[in-house]
Amino acid sequence: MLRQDRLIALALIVICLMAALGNWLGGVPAQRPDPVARTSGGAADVALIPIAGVITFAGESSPLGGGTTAGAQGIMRAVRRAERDGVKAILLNINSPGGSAAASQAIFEELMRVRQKGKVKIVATMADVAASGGYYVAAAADHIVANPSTITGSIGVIVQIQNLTDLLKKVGVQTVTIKSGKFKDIASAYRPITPGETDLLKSFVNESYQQFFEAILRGRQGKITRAELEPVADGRILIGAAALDAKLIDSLGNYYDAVEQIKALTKLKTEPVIRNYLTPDWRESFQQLFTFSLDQWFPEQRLHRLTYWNKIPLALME
Amino acid sequence: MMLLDGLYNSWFRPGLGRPPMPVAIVSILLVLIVLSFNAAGLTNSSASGWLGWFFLFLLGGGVGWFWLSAALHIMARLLGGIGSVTDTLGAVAQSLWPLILTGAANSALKVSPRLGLLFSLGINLWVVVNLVRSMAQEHQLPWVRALLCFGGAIILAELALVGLILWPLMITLGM
Repeated sequence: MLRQDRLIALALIVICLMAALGNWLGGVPAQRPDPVARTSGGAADVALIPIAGVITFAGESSPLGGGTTAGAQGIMRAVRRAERDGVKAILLNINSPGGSAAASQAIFEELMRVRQKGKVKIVATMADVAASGGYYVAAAADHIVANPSTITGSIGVIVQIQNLTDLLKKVGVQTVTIKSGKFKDIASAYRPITPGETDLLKSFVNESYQQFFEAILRGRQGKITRAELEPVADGRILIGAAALDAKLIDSLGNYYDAVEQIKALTKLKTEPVIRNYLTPDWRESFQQLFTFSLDQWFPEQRLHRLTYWNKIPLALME
Repeated sequence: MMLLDGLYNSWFRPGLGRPPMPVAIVSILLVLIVLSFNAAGLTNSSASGWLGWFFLFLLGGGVGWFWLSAALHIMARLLGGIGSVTDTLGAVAQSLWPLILTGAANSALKVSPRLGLLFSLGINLWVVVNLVRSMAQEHQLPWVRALLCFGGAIILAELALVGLILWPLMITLGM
């Protein structure tokens, strides 16, 4: 049996730690004074989802929070959480030059799924740039707001391959490739591209572009026609004002104009409570706590490891 | 068990003397963990963010501890205190333990803001009372002088901060 004084000390420690842990995991209660994004817990009207940096599936974040690339996994999880919490709207704050086609497409489809249910309105606001994959994601919104000088558009798909053979020849480096099929080393920088590979990559680019094009038509149904989209979907970039004329966006304005748009779409009378949904919830926080690796703290370490793997000739790498 | 005994004595029977080093370290760590949890909650930080707060508070707490202890020690000596620097450092560290209750106070804030504020005020008062009492005990000062010592130390610490800002300015502009 524990003595009374020991029991009091133990109970005090447990209660205080649990209360503090609860403060961390639960955040502080939401309030309503102004439409500024809160990063705390509590019921929210609007889920803010920032999409910043290059869009990839995994995304990368620094150890003290904040991301260097926009991770589709995290963004899709945030959309699901927002839907589960019953928010009235999702506000996408996009500042991205694009990224992987698959990651952008995954986010687009997830947003469209929510939008088609009709319960949650989606508004996108564009910052410095929302081009290519950034625009792909924005196309899923009910309303797109961009600054007059925002760089957007760049609707297209690109594959770039370097041919280093002349350079390597100069320094006396020879590459030996042993492959299981004729296309296994497609896009190799160690030899010129073949006509067969060019055709294959062309069809891949065209198919990917067609998916992108159709997605925009689907996302902006009733706002832009196929005939109107075709001339501006040739990879060109546009500034916000030109994008409005081209019907790629719905209005000009900033973040606060996007919030006003949300109020109009959701018929909210008061200032909405906005919460950043990209910050991890308590389960993800615990997951991060137990799975954080040295790579997060020392990114050079990963580079060294990748360099090591590249030296092994039979590594299964693309 | 020894640790729990030590913590209980340190918190509720400070008159028994300074606690052993492991007890003091655990007590300080508990305060730091609670404060960093609170800060992480307020800023909705991730797990790594919480770690950042913890290490920041560890550093800031250490610097603040020496700062306040130095001011208190100077004032205690001026008012006739006889304790050593180690006694002052120990007294300050031991007096801060009610800060572990801030987690509960913040939770109370969610239920009732008035109750939470009252709770927080109570904790701060408790820390001040602890500081005055422990300074009186370690330096064998009457309570009025111990209270003066605390008030003077706060003013001294603030003035020292102003001095720290003004000195580089004076030297830079004067040279």
